[in-house]
This record gives sequence, C-alpha cells and structure tokens, in this order.
Amino acid sequence: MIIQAIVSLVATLSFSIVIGVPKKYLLLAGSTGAIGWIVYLCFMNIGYSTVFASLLSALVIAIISVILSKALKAIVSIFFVPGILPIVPGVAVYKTAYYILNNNSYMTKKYFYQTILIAGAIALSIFIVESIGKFKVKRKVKG
Amino acid sequence: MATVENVDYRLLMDTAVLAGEIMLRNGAETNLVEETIEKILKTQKMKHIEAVVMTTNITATMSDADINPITVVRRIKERDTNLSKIQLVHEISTQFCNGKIELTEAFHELKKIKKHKEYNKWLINISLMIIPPAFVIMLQGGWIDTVTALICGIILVLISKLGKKLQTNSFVINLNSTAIVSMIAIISNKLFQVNIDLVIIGTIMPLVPGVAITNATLDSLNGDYMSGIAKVLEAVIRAASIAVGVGLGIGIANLLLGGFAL
Repeated sequence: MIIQAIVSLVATLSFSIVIGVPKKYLLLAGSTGAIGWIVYLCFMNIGYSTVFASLLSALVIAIISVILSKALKAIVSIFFVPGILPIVPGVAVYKTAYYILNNNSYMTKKYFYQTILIAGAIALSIFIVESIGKFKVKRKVKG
Repeated sequence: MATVENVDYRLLMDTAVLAGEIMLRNGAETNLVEETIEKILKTQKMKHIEAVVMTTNITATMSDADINPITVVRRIKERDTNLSKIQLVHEISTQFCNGKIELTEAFHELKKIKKHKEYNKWLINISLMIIPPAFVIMLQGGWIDTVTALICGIILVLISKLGKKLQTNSFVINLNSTAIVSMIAIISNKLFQVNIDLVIIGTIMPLVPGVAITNATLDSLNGDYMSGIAKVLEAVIRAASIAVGVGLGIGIANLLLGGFAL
C-alpha cells in the first residue's frame, strides 16, 4: 500500500508537470491524486464495483480540491484534473477497443458502459461538490 | 469607480477578451471563461454585458447609452492544457477587479502570460516518460513490464516531438504512438513474456480523454449544451484515435509475427 501511494504520487506529479500545474501547488496536486488512488484501492479491496469505487474516490478528490481551491484562491482544475488521473477509465477504454478488435460484442458493450459510467461518476462528483461550494459562498454574502 | 471620460472602453474589452482567449486556449472550462470576461467587463457600470463562450470561439459585447456597442469575436483554433496560465489569468483578473492594478497594467501582464513557461521542455519530457511505468506499477505489473513501459514512454515523447516538428494534429500523433507502443508490447511479449495489457494501458493512460469526458459532462450539467456536445465529440475522437492505434499496432504485429493469436 505504501509503494502504491508513492508510485501514484510520482505518476500524478509527473502528469501535473505535463499539464503545467503552477510550481507552488505541485505537491498538493500530487498528494490529491495519491489520496484518491488509495481511497479507490481501499474500496476495491472491500469489494465494491469499479464504478462505485471510482465515484467514492472522485467525491473525496472533489471535496479536497474544492476546499484547497477556496483556501488558496486557485482554480479547482489545478487540484482536480491531476487528482482524477489515476481513476480515469483508461483500462475500460483499452478493453473496449480490444474487444471490438476481437469481434466480441458482449464484452465490448460491458466495457463501453463501464467507460461511460466511470466518466459520469467523476463528473457527477465534482458537479455536486462544486455546487455545494458555491451555495455556501452565496449564503455568507447574504448573511 | 472611473467616470466615462477617462476609461478606454476598447482597451477594457480587449483586456477581457484577451483574458478569455488565454484561458480557453489553455483548456479552461467555458463556464470559468464566461465568468472571467463578465467579471472584468462589470468593473464599469454598463447596461448590457454579454459573454458567450464556446469551445472554439468567444463572443463578447457591451453597450451603454453613452457609447457605441463594442462587440468582439475571437476564434480559438488550437487548444492545449496548461493550468499555470489559467491560474495566472485568474490571479490578474481578480487583482484588477479588486482595484489593485490599473487597466493598462493588467493588459500588459496578460500579454506577458502568452510567453510564460512554468517548466522547461526537458522536465516535461521526462515526466511524460515516467507516467507509463508508474501506472504499470500501480496496476501490479512486474519489473519487466515496468521496463518495457519506460521504453514505451520514451517512444511516446519522441513521436509527440516528431509530430510537433511535422505540424500534424493530435489525432495522427496519438494514433501513431499507440500503434507503435502496442507493436512493441506484443513483440516484447513474444521475447520476454511481458504482460501486453498492462504495458498498453499504462502508456495510453496519459492520452485517455479523461479530462475531456469530465468537462463535457460538467458543461452539460451546468446547462451549457453546445460546449458539452463539442467536448463529447473531442473525447470520442481522441478515444477513437487511441482505439484505432491499438488495433493497427496489434494487427501489424500479428502480420509480422505470423499467425500469433491475441
């Protein structure tokens, strides 16, 4: 698990550099990804499905990135985009292509649905958390 | 608040649209770009302020009783992902709206961002090389898989460099790099029993349009259907380029090795 945490930190850090995360937020962005991956692994070990584990870890990542972006006055993407890198449906996309090549329409459908569901889960989580974040700010201004 | 006489409306409009242009060019969500343009324009008490941003273009207009309406349209042809530039624009626009910097100063600062580089080229290339082996370890691959993934990462960088030199689009670059990577995966599977799936998955991980899919859904949920559908298409095209590349690579490797079953 420790090796997994370190490696996912390295992967997210490298990806953060590729997409140009500002230097001062680099480590925070990397840690967000590592935490998300560990949460994902924990839920997978308990026995949840890939999609549900993705949803829960994306929720955790979304909460962390919205809090960090509010605290540091940065845009949410800086923490969210590197954070979700480990859980984006890369495996599902590959398997979809692989089974299309093998003419296996049953497995193609299965992995295609999985791709859509994981992507939807990630988007839904950041949408929910961002909406809650905005809601709080407006209440503060009023009161 | 400045009065009508001493404000250059054209410069204000240029500043707002420049900010939006830099943000959109570097992969910001349309929502954020619209917010930023409107925020900058709203520093003057105008009657009508409108900013319509789509994935490929920006339209902004403002008008009041005293001045002629000013409308600006910008077309965004190439898009990239560079979050540091978006963050810099965000900081400058916030400073300008809080009255900490003047309009001309903000405009010049924004001009400077275009040349801004957060990391040098070598660091970016090395980072791109590290991602595939890291993913192979994360997916519980052995050391031989990791080494193969590192070679695939180097090829990924080389092909993207070559593609930039030849000025091709990202579809061709993705297609070629995934094709070559899958060929290498299959050939090295023959030679050293490498796990094909892990090597290919690790290498396509940084190419998979995860961000595009997420942004597409996010835009649609925000009620921005035009941008939503444009980004869905972007994601589908990128996923298709990867899928076609993997298919080509496996097909060619099969031809070369002769009758090798998947």
